[in-house]
Amino acid sequence: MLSTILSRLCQGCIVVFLLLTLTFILIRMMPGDPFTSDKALPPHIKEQNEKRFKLNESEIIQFKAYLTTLAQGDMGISITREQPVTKIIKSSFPASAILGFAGIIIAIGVGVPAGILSALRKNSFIDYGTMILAMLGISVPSFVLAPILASNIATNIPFLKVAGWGGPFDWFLPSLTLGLATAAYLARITRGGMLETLNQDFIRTAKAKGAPALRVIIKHALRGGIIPAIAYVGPAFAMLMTGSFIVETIFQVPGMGQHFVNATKELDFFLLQGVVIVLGILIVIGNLAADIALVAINPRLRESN
Amino acid sequence: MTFTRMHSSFTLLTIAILSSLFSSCDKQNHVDEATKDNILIIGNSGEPADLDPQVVTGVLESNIITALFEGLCGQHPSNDGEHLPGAAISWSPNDNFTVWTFKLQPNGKWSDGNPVTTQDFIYSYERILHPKFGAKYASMLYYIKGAEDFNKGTTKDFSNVGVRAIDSHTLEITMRAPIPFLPDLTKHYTWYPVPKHIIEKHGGMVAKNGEWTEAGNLVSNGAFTLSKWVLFDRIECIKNPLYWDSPTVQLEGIHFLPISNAYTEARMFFNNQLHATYTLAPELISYSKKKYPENTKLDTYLGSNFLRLNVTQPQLKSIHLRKALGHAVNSQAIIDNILQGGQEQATGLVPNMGEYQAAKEMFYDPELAKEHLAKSGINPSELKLTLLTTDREGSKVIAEALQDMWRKTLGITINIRQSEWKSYQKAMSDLDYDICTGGWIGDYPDPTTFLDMWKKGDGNNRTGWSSEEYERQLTKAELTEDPLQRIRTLEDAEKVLLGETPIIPIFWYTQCYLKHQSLKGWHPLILNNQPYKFISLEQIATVPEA
Amino acid sequence: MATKGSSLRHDAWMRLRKNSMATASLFFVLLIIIACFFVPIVGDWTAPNDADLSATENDTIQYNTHWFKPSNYQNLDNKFATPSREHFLGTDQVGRDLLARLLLGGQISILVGLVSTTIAGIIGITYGAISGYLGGRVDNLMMRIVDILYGLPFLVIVILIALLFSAYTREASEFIITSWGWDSELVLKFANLIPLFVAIGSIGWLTIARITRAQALSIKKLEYVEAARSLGLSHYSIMLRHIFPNMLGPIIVYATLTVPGFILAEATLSYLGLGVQSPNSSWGILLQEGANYMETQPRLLLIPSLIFSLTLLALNFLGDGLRDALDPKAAKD
Repeated sequence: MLSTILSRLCQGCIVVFLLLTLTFILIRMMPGDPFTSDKALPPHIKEQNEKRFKLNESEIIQFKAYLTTLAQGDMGISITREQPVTKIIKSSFPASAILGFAGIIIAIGVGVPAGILSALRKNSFIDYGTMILAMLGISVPSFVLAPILASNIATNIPFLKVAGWGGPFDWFLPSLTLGLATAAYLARITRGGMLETLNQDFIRTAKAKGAPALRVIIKHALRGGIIPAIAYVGPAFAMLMTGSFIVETIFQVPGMGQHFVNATKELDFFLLQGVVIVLGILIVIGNLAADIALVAINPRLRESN
Repeated sequence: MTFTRMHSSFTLLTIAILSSLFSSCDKQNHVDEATKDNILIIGNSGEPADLDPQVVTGVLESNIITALFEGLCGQHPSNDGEHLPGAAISWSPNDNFTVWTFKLQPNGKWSDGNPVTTQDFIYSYERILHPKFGAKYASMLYYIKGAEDFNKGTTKDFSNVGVRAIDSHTLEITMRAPIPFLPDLTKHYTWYPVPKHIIEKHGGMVAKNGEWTEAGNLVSNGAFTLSKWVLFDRIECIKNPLYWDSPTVQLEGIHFLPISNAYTEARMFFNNQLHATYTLAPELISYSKKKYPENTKLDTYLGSNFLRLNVTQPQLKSIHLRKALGHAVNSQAIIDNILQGGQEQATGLVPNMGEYQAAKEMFYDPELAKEHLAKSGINPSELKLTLLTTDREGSKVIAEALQDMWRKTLGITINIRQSEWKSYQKAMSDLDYDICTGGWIGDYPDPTTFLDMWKKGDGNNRTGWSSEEYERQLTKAELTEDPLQRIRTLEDAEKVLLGETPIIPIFWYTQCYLKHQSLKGWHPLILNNQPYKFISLEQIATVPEA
Repeated sequence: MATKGSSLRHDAWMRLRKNSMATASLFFVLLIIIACFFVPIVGDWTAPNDADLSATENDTIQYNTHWFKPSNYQNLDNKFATPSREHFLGTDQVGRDLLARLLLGGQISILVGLVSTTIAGIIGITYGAISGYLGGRVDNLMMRIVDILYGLPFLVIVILIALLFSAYTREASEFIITSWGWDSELVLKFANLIPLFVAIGSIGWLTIARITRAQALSIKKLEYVEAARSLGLSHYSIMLRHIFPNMLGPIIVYATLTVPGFILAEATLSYLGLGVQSPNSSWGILLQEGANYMETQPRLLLIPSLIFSLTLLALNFLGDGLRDALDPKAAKD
């Protein structure tokens, strides 16, 4: 088990490195440069600024220099703002972590029960009803849902704010918006997984033997049926933490998602590279955590490893 | 095992929510709360790039920096033309405005107690002009004699630059030409002093690492000083007790919130979380005017919106075609129906300011437009023009309206090409467009802030247009000693520009923003550079209700 | 074999019919497609005031008597008009007919969904099938590549592809207009969309590749594939004749589920200002513009959201229904 984890971690390192390399190349292929702005810079000042970030050097030298500083734990300085990238990431990580964590709790809390319920009552009104509710999460874009929640819910409930990031109350609406979309996918995956397990022979046998229905569901069906959902939750968590640009801007959350969009639009090379590294690490950890959870739930997988 | 961990975290979360239930419940009205504490909360439309006056280039940074730092001259709270003592107690030019002498406040202090001296100013000017520092806005100081050469590295010695310390509190600045508007310039953040002793402690003059502007490190000479800076969340300033004029300062503190989404910002204002904003989305103006008439402010702003025409494009080489396009634009319809912010139809590039009379060259006249089109000899159906636009400030809707106007009046079909911001900028610089939307916000209240950019080879020209006659007029104006005569010459220069129509002025900006009734001493200013020291908060009985 | 196949398909159809939600969804989707692609053809599309330019100034606009006049042109004097006989759903912020924009936007959104899915499908199925069939180290490597691509910032890729392609498509469309004499408006309209198709499609294939791979892995272990291999058939013909046809069912199902995802992706990109570009509009653009007027003109947000969400909902239900109907395992009861 330990060796599997270690080898997966090594693979993860390679994945993160390649991800970084690709991002490094792609962002430099974009038209314009970090210093293009509505008020043009005089050539000699532009040159000085490019020199400062070594942008006048060849890409290979730039990459080497970046890796050297990265090895010392320094991600460079953001080109568009005078802040070290590590500081920006450190200060936006907590909000993203809270948002991602609360989002995934809502997603699991809503999605998994909804999926189980509709699988058990397949093609009934309960099935349709829960699935409609769950799917609304994917069918209403977050940029429509979020302002509606802000102006209609937040203004009517005294302790909720339309936007801002202070106490735990402010976590609710953003993570709800974020969690619902994931809940919808999760509900669907759980439903599919449950349907498959419920149709398997051992469940039928258990039912035929007269075992109490609820016990069968909890002890046998859930164990198998939940597997696809867990495999999905790992990477979904990474995406929730970093892919929340819209929710962050609408609810004024100081998280990381905005950096992916803004650093791309403003060609802030170092900031984008920094947040991509974080995203890569999160994906690797998410996948690994999901795998470990799968093994914990289903001991049979342990032998096949 | 994953489930138990999640379970315990869930319990933790529940406890956290419950425990804060009681503490948060009484903070429903944030604005009233803050007003009681004399704290001003402002929505500041984005996270600042830095708080170093010599690094930043934007308006939103300026909004914070004017609270922290103070230039030689101070801004009057309601009159743009009047200069109050700032870091300087008095100043005087020589006869022809080429040498200015500033007397500094005798008890001017940095917020750590050190005195503000002439050396701080000279150090600051050397820093912003230093070729190694690469300040993006260094050209704002090119009015000083020798500054441009030093910045470009042609002279290495800063003593060649026209700033000189007569004594510890007397500063003499020698200009490259008569500059009667120097007091206006000194109100711009590029001219602010920075604390030499602090910067030397954090890496020295040309180091850029964002260290000295961190909360705790930053030392300022203005009415407020930085107490807290949480990236992308908030910037908190508190009253600076060592400020020379601190009895005037009414507020205990200012909180700037970097709210980049304009709709969120407006929602937060309407939900009583903000005292004021610096922006208001065009789509919300009519709603806000109707529902919150007392809070919606539409003030004249020093900015001009215009179309650039690429004069190197074969068909647009014709001045008649350019004029035809210009006179076919019904700016008033755009203002009334799309912008709705009380903007003024632009008849020229430079808006009225002080003595400067705005040109009256460009106006909506469909018949004249058709006449010009006929004179150009171009068959409308053969025209293949593209209008380049971007996704900001409702410029897409304006582009669609223009497309429709040209189709209706001239029978010209124009395609719209919408690009994201960087590509749009690049296409403009590379002259890879036919017509494009754009605008310019003045840095200081003098016509040259709009006129200098149309010189040949200027990075902001971006039209391919140039004229010897135009540049001759500008040079003549610069050498004119009489301020009024100078303004008249600049007016002539603008007529040359508009006569050849490389640009089509559309409207002069207004600053649309929201302001709470409790806010006193916040008056319309042409650059909206509010001097916070004159602003106060008053408890009001009634609260705007949705 | 043949009869069994057709009866399987027949069974599936019957199962789908039994699923009333899926059937209703199918009809709704068909209705939307017909409305978006055929109703505009019968409407009258001439711009108002075009014939008589002085009409705007005298404020006497000549309306013709056609029963359906979904003009997509601006009319600044008639903005935010409430629903009426002239404009069934009212007009938007610059006086364009909302119904017209909804139908035309629907064309684009549906096109984006379908074309991007096709592109994603072709790439994803080929990649996944090769990876799954070859297995072993190749499979491992190919899947790690997918992992890496998953982590790439979506926006960078989209902007980059959109920009790279827009340069070529602009040249190509100019060539087509000048040398083939095609209608310039139509050509430009499509040239405008190609970068978006490619951008969304080239990201979206990753999930399809994973699903196809899983399918291919399970199918290649089945007896008849082993048999074919022992008979000495080439990889190429095994894949084409045995693996592909057997994977088709589940893949079509997942493709159906991808379409709403891509329509949503287009809407999100449009919200960020990177989606469909003017003069085209899409449901995403309508939603984004509508959200700006949420407080003042809720109609501009609610009507497009309703149509958009219902269509997505229907597509999702249809996809789920198809999966339930086609999935042989679920079909046992």
